[in-house]
Amino acid sequence: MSFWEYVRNRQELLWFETYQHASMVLQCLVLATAIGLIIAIITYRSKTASAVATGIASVLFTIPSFALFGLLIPVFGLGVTPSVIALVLYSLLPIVRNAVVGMSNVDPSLVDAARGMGMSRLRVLFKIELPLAWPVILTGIRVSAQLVMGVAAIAAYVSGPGLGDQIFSGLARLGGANAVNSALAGTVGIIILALIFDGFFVLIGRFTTSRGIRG
Amino acid sequence: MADDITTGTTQAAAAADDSGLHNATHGVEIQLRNLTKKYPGQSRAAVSDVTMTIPAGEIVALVGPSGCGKTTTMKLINRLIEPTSGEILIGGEDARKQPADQLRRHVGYVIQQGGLFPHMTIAENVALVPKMLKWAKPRITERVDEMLELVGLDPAQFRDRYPRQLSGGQQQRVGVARALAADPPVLLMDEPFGAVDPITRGRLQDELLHLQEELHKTIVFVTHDFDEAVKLGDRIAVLAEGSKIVQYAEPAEILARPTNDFVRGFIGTGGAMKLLHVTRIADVELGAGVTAQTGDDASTVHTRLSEADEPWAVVLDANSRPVQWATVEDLAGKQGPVSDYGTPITTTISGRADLQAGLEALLGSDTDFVPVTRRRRYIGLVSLNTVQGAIQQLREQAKQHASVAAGEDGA
Repeated sequence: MSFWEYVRNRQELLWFETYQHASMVLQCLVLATAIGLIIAIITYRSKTASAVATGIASVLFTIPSFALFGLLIPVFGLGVTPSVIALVLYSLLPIVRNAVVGMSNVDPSLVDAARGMGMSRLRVLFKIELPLAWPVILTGIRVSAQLVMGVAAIAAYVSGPGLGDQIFSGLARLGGANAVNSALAGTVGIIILALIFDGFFVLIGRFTTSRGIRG
Repeated sequence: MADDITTGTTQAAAAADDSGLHNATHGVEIQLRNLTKKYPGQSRAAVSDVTMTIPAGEIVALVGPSGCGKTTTMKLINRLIEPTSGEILIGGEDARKQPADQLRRHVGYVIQQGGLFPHMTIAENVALVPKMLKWAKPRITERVDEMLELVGLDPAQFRDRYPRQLSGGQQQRVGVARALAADPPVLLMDEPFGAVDPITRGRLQDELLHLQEELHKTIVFVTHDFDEAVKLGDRIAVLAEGSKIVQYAEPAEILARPTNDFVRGFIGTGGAMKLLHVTRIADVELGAGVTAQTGDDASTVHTRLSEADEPWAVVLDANSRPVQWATVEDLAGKQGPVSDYGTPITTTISGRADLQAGLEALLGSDTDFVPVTRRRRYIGLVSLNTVQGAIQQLREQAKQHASVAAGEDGA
């Protein structure tokens, strides 16, 4: 069976797994962005606190993904839960780091001007600091998206959803019928998804960044 | 040159007229009482026991070397920095009684380069404080345009631009417009013109002075440039380390009688020249000269000149504008209207110009006298003697001031 025949035969399954993969990555990114921004907002004004936050995120990042998934099994079992936890932990580093850098790079004289006009701390955060740091934050999310897209394939190891299943089952049956086709289908699917996501982030960037600070 | 001065003034005045700012909130008095700011872990106070009164509607320049605490002192007024002890009264009210954010919405704040938010349009920047004060939308839109016009920027052209599309000088103007948007009685300016080129700086300074003529705000202006302080300040406070007030007086008095070497060092060389800078021509005793109307008969004017023993007359047109010089020789034995004789006047100077400009006009002119005008009407003549006499008089006055002040201290 050729690759195309394989894809055509399993069209429905492949569509479903692609959808699951995309959906899982997107949900994990939303979660990671929320958590990452909160961590950054809490820590960015203290050099020590932000260093600790980025440090912890870096340590999490260095754990080999395969091992991280494995370590989560005894605690959370198999399936969606350990997959989501692992992916969120992975995507935190670029988001937290970029958010901290982006916000602490906002010109202090602008914050001074904003405070001097009578803006509250919260208003300064939401009206000045976050919008100005947004392009940098968005870049962090975009890097995370690419990263998580690949790591999500390994979620199949803990019976997580997504295209990883194609790759894992293909590799397990190496030499058998359609083994290569299966692994290839999973890989190509992930690459295409990654490209679509990246394009999506370029569009988001265009629509959500003020013309006044767009590069 | 004289023309430049006149046009500049009329344009700014016209702009202010258009915007109907005559009912703008005027400035209120600011009193600082025993203000001290001490940062933890530092042995010396950044601001040490400062007491000063900033009169309503005046520009007070805080000037001193970097690190003397002048900016800190200013930030104590809008409580960007909370004082360790002491009192701040704005318009007689304790500034510490209301929440800091509320207070700051009624105190304009301008920083270097304008401090515009790059992600907001010019209109959004200017609208910030009125928005926080919950003005109605149409009123905000109207106010934004009014403010842009006030600072000489065409609203249609600039409203929707972003700060980075503006030059440094334009950004600074928007900064002033933003600070004035909610019509605060008090304006704090922290070295606002420090980052623009000297020519633009001079123009921005002129514009600020013209605005102030209309607005009468109380302005605290921090600068390390003594010449800027002299040009803008109704009063100057020369500050030393710890924001210690070394001298607090009108520019002319500081220039004529600096209290000590610290102030003298700050004035630098050319004190007398700077004194020329702070004195308006219209405020000194001008030569009267012999004047004639364009229609006057040459022989009558000749007789009047001979009687007054003056070598020439200033010929004025129907609107009292000086148009011609007519010398005794020009008119000797001549008949008919005096305007047929003599040489046209090429240089005049506005009475609003300072003595330094007058001196320059004199040096650049072929005549020993330059006619002075107010609203283009002739008011007198300025000569080298006038300038010299004025300087002597200023020094005398300063001496008297000083002795009166000393007498008060003694009592």
